[in-house]
Amino acid sequence: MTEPVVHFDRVTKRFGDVVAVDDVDLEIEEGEFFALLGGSGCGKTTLLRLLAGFERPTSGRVLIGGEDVTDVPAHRRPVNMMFQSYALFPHMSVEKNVAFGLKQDGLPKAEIATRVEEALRLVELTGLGGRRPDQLSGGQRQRVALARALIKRPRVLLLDEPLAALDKRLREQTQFELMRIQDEVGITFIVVTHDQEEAMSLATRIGVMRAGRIVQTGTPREIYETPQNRFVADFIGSVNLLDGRVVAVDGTRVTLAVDRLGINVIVDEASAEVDTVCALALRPEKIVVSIDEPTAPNRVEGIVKEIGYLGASCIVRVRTGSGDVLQAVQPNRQRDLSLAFEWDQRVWLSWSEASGVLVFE
Amino acid sequence: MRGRATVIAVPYLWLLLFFLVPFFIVLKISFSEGTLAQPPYLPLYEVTDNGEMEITATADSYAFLIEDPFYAEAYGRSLRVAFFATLIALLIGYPMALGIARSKPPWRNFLLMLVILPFWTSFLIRVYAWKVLLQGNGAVNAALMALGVIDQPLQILYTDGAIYLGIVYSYLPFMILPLYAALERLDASLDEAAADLGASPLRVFLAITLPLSMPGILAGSLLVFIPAVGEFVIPELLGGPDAAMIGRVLWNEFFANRDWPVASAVAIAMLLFLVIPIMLFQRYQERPTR
Amino acid sequence: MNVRRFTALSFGLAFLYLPIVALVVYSFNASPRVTVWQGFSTRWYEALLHNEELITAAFLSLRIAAINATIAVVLGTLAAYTLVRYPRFRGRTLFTGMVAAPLVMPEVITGLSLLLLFVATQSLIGWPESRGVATITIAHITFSLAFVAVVVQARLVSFDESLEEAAQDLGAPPWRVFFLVTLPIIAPALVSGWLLAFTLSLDDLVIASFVSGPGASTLPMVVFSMVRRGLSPEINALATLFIGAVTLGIVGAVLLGRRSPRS
Repeated sequence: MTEPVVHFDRVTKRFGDVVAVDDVDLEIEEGEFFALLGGSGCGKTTLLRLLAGFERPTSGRVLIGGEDVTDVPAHRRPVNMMFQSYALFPHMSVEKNVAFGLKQDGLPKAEIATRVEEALRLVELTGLGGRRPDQLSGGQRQRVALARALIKRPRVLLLDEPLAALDKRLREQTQFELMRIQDEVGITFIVVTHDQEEAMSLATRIGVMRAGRIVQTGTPREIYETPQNRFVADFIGSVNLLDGRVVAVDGTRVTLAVDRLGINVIVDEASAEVDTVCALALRPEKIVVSIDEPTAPNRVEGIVKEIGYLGASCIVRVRTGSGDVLQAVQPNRQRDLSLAFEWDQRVWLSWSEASGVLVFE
Repeated sequence: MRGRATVIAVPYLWLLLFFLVPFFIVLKISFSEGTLAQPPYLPLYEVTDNGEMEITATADSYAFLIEDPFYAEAYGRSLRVAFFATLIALLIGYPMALGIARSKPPWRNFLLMLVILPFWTSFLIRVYAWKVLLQGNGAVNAALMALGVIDQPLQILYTDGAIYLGIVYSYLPFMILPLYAALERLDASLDEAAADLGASPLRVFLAITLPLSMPGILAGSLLVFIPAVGEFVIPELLGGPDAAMIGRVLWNEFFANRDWPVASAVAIAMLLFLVIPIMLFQRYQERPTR
Repeated sequence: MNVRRFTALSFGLAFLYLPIVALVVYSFNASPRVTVWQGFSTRWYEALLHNEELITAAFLSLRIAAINATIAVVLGTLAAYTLVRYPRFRGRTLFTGMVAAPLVMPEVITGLSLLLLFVATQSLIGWPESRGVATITIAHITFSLAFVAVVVQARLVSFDESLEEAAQDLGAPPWRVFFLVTLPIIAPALVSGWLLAFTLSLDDLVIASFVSGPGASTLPMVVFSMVRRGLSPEINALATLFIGAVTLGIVGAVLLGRRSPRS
């Protein structure tokens, strides 16, 4: 087992009365593309700044490559950061900006020049070295910031909301760009983001944060398909949460009585004890909408209250007899028309036993 | 942390030594008794031969200020002149600031520079310029006679009118700059929204522009009013020999009469008058804003 | 631009500039009587060149103004940095007040209080031996540093602190961060602060009159005594030189600013 490249060892950070980071214990392995995901004020940026050395933890230790850097100032840490605002020095050319880190290390001029050129090529900015930051577009600035942070070949690259300032189209393009670059340089990337789609598509592993704590870590698929609690289920994507009580357990097959809908739901690959109060987290795309009563065991009847057309799919909101509204997503498989159902029509919702997951908190 | 302490300490000590301490010395001397010596005041207490401390502090200088109507008149005149000069500067400065704020962006900086430029030339010389213009046979009288407004030269120089003119002229940029800063920030679409909702241009001005530029009005007025109250050069050069304004009185008490305790008391009393508008302004600025 | 606003602006600017234009015109007047035009002449400029008192005073003022501006920029920048970056330390309220107060303090009071200080220190520790350049400079620094602090503060408030963090992150220790990043970025504010302090010092009559001693007369003090004695065409010439220098300086600054565009 190799040493993790980053280790937060029970780190807590308080600002006055506010606990920004609350007893976080987290290990990140060499070569990972790790995303810290959470809403604003959840402590994700503070965690990043603790790693960069801009904040000192109130308690706990920060280790990089097995070495305790808790008391090492920012300028001596082997990590570099790409700032949300990019923080390009406005009084320096692109070249000078990128070369800044190497200059601080006192490298010979010739080597700096070669490596700057190399870095600019990596981010496809060759030939723009003489420009000033204010003569660049938003996307170009973002890439200068990236080149500047990468040029020192840090152990870990920190990216604070790297795509937030870009427009949607550029954002998608840049996501793949970031992945390509990480692949090329082989450095561990830690990205902070509030955008779950960004985290899902970029990262090899995600840590979901809430109120200073990491509530779940896992691959994007694990986070999405097997959320460990209501918060994660609700925060990542949309979800239907059906509250109920476990009435029967047969191996990994659990039967949940959902009183509000008046039905029993069967969940496979679950583990729970009888009488536990919990909820079924069910993604909208796992629900099938049909007019005729389906044969699937998990089904409920309702009335279509809204249909939202999204192009690739439709969101259907169905009100059940109890008044609860469930949401289903149906792909638009055909161009011409028209789903088989309309507003105010009576329909059936059904889903398979393996498509939902039980969440307890 | 040592760096931080130095950064704070250096300007802090400078200001303590050269701003706060001198202020307390003024306060102290205002309670001293004058004397014919160097320096011309007595200490606040004396240690007598048998080791007892004898307090010699006195409020005589303040009593003197209150008893002699000359000082009350001087304060009254200073406040009056400063107030009306501020008002006139506001009436001239507001349309100018609005004009600059509403002109096209490339023009704004140019116009603003035109307003500031005179400030960079010597204050003394600008006041002197009016002394030249306001002479009995100066340009202003000549122009008025040529226009047929008057038949013979008016006595403008050495009147309060000349003082008003001097103050308004000298401090106009200080009025325009904060007004401009406040007006420039106003979103033009606010006016359009008000107009769209049926307000006449006058109502738009009274209901939208004026209230939203209030911080600029107050800041500009304060920047004109405060130096105007203590002004020495303008009344000295443009006002009549008996136009007693408080800055001039202080100067004369000090240099001509060599009465340091009274000069100090005049200074303290002047500060008291100025503290009130400044505190009101602070309160206004610190009130919770949206 | 609408007509009313245009009129207001034109009248206002005319009001600001007519006296200055008049001075410039009169400075080329051959007549010794200031207000009577008698033909073009540069005789007052020549007279100015031979006015030893005025020239000595001018050099003294320039020297004081330059020293004052330089020290005031250092102290004012430290003060501004303190106010912006250190939100909490003991005595901050007093400090904030002391930085702001000189801005609104009537000159006569500043002058009087500093003179009384110098008199007191002289009798206590024997310093200053005599009042002159040093006391005037100290007095000027005290009020100019407040103006510098305001200018620099405005720049520091809008300063993106992540720029400093970025430099630190890339391996620069704190003092290099300050000299490589902070200082160059706030440099325009330091230049304006310096010019402002220089002008304030060059312009000050009242405070200098209080704290000066025999033999140290600044340019405004000499001009003031000339003006008091009566109108003098030489002052017109001096004023014109002044206005010319200021105009050149500002036009130069604008051109320089245009050459290196900055966001």
